[in-house]
Formats: sequence, C-alpha cells, structure tokens
Amino acid sequence: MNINMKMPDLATNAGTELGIARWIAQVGQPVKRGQAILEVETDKAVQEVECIANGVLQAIHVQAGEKVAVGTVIATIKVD
Amino acid sequence: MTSRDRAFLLNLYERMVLIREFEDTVKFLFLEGTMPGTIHQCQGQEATAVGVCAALRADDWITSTFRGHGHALAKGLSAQEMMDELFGAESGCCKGRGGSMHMGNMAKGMVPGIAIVAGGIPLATGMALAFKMQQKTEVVACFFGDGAVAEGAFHEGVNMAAIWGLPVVFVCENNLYGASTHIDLVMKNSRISDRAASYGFRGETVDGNDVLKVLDATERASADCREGRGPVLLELLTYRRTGHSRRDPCHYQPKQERELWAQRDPIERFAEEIKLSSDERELIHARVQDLLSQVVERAKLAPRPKVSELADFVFAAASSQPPPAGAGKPDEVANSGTVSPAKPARRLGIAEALREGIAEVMAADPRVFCIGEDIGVRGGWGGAFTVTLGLAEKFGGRLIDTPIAELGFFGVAVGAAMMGMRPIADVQYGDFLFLASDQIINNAAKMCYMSGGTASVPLVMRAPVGATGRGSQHAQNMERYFTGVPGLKVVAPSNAYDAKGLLKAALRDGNPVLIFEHKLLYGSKGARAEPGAVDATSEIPSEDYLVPLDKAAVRREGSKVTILAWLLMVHYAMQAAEHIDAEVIDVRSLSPIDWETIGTSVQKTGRVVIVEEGPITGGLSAEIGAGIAERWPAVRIRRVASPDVPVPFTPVLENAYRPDVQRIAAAAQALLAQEHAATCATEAVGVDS
Repeated sequence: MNINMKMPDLATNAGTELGIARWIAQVGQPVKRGQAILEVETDKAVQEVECIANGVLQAIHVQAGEKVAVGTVIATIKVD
Repeated sequence: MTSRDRAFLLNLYERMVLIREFEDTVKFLFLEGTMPGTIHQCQGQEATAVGVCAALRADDWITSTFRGHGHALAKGLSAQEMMDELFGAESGCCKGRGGSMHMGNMAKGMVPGIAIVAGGIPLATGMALAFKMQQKTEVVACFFGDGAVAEGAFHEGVNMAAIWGLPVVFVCENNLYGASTHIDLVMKNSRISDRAASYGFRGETVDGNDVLKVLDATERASADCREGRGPVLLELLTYRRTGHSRRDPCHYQPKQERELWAQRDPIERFAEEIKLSSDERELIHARVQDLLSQVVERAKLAPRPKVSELADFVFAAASSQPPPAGAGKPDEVANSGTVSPAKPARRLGIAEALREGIAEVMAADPRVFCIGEDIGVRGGWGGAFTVTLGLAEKFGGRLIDTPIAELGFFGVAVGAAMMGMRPIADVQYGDFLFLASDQIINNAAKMCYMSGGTASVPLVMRAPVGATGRGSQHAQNMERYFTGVPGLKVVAPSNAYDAKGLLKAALRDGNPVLIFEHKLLYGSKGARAEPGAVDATSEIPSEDYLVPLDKAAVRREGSKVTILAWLLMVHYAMQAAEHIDAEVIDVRSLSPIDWETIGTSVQKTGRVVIVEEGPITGGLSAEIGAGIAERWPAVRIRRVASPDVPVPFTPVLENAYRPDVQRIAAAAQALLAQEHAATCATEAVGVDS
C-alpha cells in the first residue's frame, strides 16, 4: 500500500512556508524509516528530514527549490 | 541494595530501549503531522533516567523538566498514558491539559514537569522539607540540566536544601548544551559537581552514559539522604543525540563531538557490558515495538476532552479532610478549633488577630507551618509587622526562618504543599513578591490545571502592601499583578475580624490563596507600630469562625451612590461617606470578584466610585469598572486612584499620591451632581486621579 509523506511542522514561526532544498533519495529508490531522504529549508536552517516508512520512494510531488505549507503532501512511499 | 541478577540487568536494558523507541516513535508521529504541539526529546540520555530511577524506592519522588519523557518512563508512567497525553487525550496522565512538557503522575511519584528552567529545584527542596517534617524516609530526585545552574532558583533551592539537611538528590544531566549554547560559554568552572562544596554538601561527577555507574551513585546518594546526610549533587555527563526540540537541526553540535558521543551510546555500551545475546536483543526490541504500535493506535483513537470541560481543574475542590495520619506530631494544645477557653469577645488589631489565628490553626492541624524571613528568630521581631511574635516559643521548628531568597522559599512552600503540608509563606514587603512571581504564577497557580486536577497546591501566602514613607520599592500596592491569574485566589482584609477569618478559610481551601494586608492597618501596639495608622481593630469572638474567601461585604448601607474599596481605602471611603447617602462595599475578595454583592448595590444606586491605592492605569479598579459596565451599562462609573507615578518618598508627595477622603467624597459628589439620564451613553466616563 501507499502512504503519503507530508511537509513536517519544522518552522519556528507559524505560517512560514518551508522549501525543499534538495532530494537525497530518488524516485524508485528503496528507502528505510529513519533514513534522511530530503533536506528542508526552514526559517532557521537547512535540516535533514527522515523517511517515515520502509519501502520504495514511489513519487515526488514537490521539487527542489519549491516552497509549500506545512502538511502539503511532498512524496508517496510504497510500503513494504 | 537490589540484587543485580540477569533479570535485573535485562530489565535495565529494556527500560532504556523503551525510552529510545518511545522517543523515536514520537519523532515520526511528529514528522507525519499526526501529533500536536512540540516535543523536547532525550535520545542519548537513557542511562541517566533509568539509572537514577532504578535506585529509588517505589515511594520516592522525582521532579522533572520540559525534557521529561525519559524520566517519566523510567519512574513508571505507562507508555499509554504518556502517548495519550501527547495526543491531548482525556486518558492522558494529565488529562490532555499538560502536554509534553508537564508529564507526571502523582500516584507514581512524579510531579508534573516544570517547564521553566530550574523552576523545579526549589519545589524539590520543599517536597523534601515536607518529608522531613512528616518524619518520612522518602527522598526526592530532582532532574535538571546544565543550563539550569545559571538560574537563581538553582542557587536558592540547593542552598536551602543544604542548610536544612534535606533528602534531595539533585541530578544535573550535563549534556554540554543549554538549548543551543555550549556550557563553556555560560560558566567559568564547568565541573558542576564542584558547586556542592560551596554550599557545604557532597557533589559527584559520574559517567551519565553508564547505567550501572549512575545506579551506584544514586544508591549511595539516596542512602546518604535517608540517613540524614543529604542533600547530594550528582552531575551526570551525557549527550543529547536529538535536537533541543523537534524543530532543531543541531547545527551547533560539532560533527566530531556528535560522533564521539555516538560511540558512547548508553544502550549499546550496556548491551556489550552485559554481553547481550542476539536472541535477548530481538526479544526485547520486538516486545517494545509491539507495545508501542498498540499504544499509538489506541492513543490516536482515545477520546479528547469536551470543550464544555475547558474550565475544569482550575481549582481543587474544597476538602474538609482531617489531617492525614502521621502528618506530623500534633501540638499538645487542644485539637479542636477553639483554643481560647470560654472568653468574652476581645478587641484585637489585625496583627494580633492573625497571630491568634495562626496559633489556633497550628495547634489544631500539624500540617500547618510558617515560612518566611525573620519570623521565628528568638529575640527577634516576629516578622516585619510582629504577626508571628512569640509563636516560635510555642511551635518551634514549625516557624521556618529562611535566607533572603523569596523565589526559593516560595518554591519550597509550593513543594511542601504538594506533599500534603499546609504552609503559610510571607514576604516582608509586598514589593518582594516580584522575586517569587515565577513560583506563584507559573507553578502554584497552574499546577492543579496542568496536572488534570491530580495535583493540588494548598498554599497560603501573605504580603503587606501600601505606601508608608519608605520609598517606591517598599510601597507598592501589588494586588493588580496577582488578580486575574487563573488558579490563584486573592483576598484583602480591611479589619481584624476578616483577617483572622479569611486566614482560616484560606488554610482550609486547599488552593493557592494570596492574602494582601495593609501596613497601616496592622494596628500593632509596641515597637513596630506604624505612624498614622487607621483603626482596623475588631471584636474577635472566642469561638472558631471563618470568613468566606469569595464574598464582598457591605460596610455601610446607602441608596444614592456605591463606593467600592479595599484595604486602607475602605476606611477612607467610610469617612468620605459620612455626609453622603452612600453605600460602602469592602470588595475584600479580589479574585474572584463578588459580582452578586456589587451588582445588587450598583443596580440600586446607579452610580459607583471605585477607589484604589495604586496607579490609575491598569489597576484592579479598571477590571471592576469594565465588569460593571458590561453587566449593568446604565451605571455611571468613576475611579479614584493614584497618579501614574512610582511612590514618592517625600511626605507631601506621598500624601498627594495616596487617594484621600476629600478626593473620594468629591468623586461621589460629582456623580450625584450629574443628571442620571437614560441617554448617559454620550458622556465620557470620568476618572479622578
């Protein structure tokens, strides 16, 4: 089954949009829960974000360089 | 000492794994966006919590901080009640009212976490004071971080534990960072255990990532405490592998430092030390994972509190319980409320009436004690206004003279109250309450609510207010800073009868109650009588009596204008009312306001003068005025208060600062002179200052 990964609530100041700095994992790549799969730019710093499940990175919905609100679906993982 | 067989060692390992997995599980819930709020986690610090708590007995206590998930699990709170709390569910350990930073369970010996850095340290000292007074052998382990030792509350709390030899194990989890600031930037001597010697007690630095070393050190420290050699300071060297909070990427932790400490991971080291087999490891990890998956599923579905219950738990329900068994040695004087045998009523001043009231309650209830500066010193003053004069001769150690440390000893009083004592804490001048305000407002007033009603703080506090020729820092009327604080009751007696009755009612209420007294109303005779004092004496009956905490009192009936006042201003209002058909009400209950009594009066008269000693802007008279205006909009309102200046010393200016009889009478006359028309809405509400 597939689960969605959402932009986590990492901003210091509420309402700030968060940017994807870069994707560390690629679509089609096997991923593990706890593995850093992207870097997010918050109002404080660039921060690694861990994958939330074991499986395969099925789809990326927000590209590097884009900014979105907390809770926006950024990726889909096909769970083992 | 507990036998350290394999089962015991495996249990230590499993408890550390539970903390690690719980924290990692919560981290992912946060990343998934399913968990509200924020979290301050402790991955990497598992051995400190588990080692300390494993050395404690079931009836020992701990205090904790905003980073308390590990302490809570180690002390014995269930993963379920904690996860429920993190999801804000009614079944959470604090019924969802506390959240991540206030984990606790009074039934399991953990006070809800204090999220103000170092705020729990005086509290722990107070808990230990209660154990000593109750002649119990319990100890309290007080967790705090390296950042806390810079706070004044650390200094005041450990100093009092030291001078009174209290059973506290102060546990400093030194993880090298106070939030994001390295310890070397905030102290010259970063060996924290060295500080203990300066207070005259024992300190020890321990490898905080070695669970058995932590356990050994805590066993030694608690034995010292139980045998009267406390307190002890344990500095546990450890490292936080996660952010300060979940929004922290830890870029201030150098990579090399992180890697070095990763190699000293407490869980892996212990696994090696006890030669954990792969079967044992798998079994334990699987068991923990199973538990946590079930816990999370249940927590997600657990019912949340109803909005209709938003205002529950602000105060503990009034109890009429007798003092608990073993609460302390009862005094030899009669146990009933009446101490003076069949005497006629006598006329006493406020100081005398309070002294008598305190003596009566202390004789009847072994839980009651007084704590403050200069209150019990033999050959001393009985406090700044003679209220406790002579009581030390009768009650000895139940009048505790403190160092000059208001933040500290108010915190001590909060802690003692939480453990079942009924302290009366006083400041010599109300102005000094500012020093104690963190303990009063952040701890005492909030503890019942944020614990979901499972903890209570039966603490009475007393403070003298008013301008008396001593300059602006010994003269303020402090009521405005402490009224309107949810969870704190505030009263202000204007006469001796009320003073004694309110004190007794406050001691029975079971909640934090702050009693403001006016320096010019004590009416004490002898060495410390204040010049210019007004007569606030009353006939005091010999029978026991109470004055309700939440009621105003009509002092004089009238029909044309209401005058509201409290403390000294009541007496001036009575004088001002002499030639006016005015109804004078002693507001007396400042939090909550008695709208019923006030409403009955202002609806009858249609006009109200609110008198307050203290600057006109932002005072309690503003709150009362707003409350009258929205409930009974036709009522004309005028305030008489001080100008917006600090209290001047020079008598001519101080007298101009303080509202007087003429100004009160003039305001009442001005209201009477105005047309009481139905179209009063167009006229501005007048103020007089």
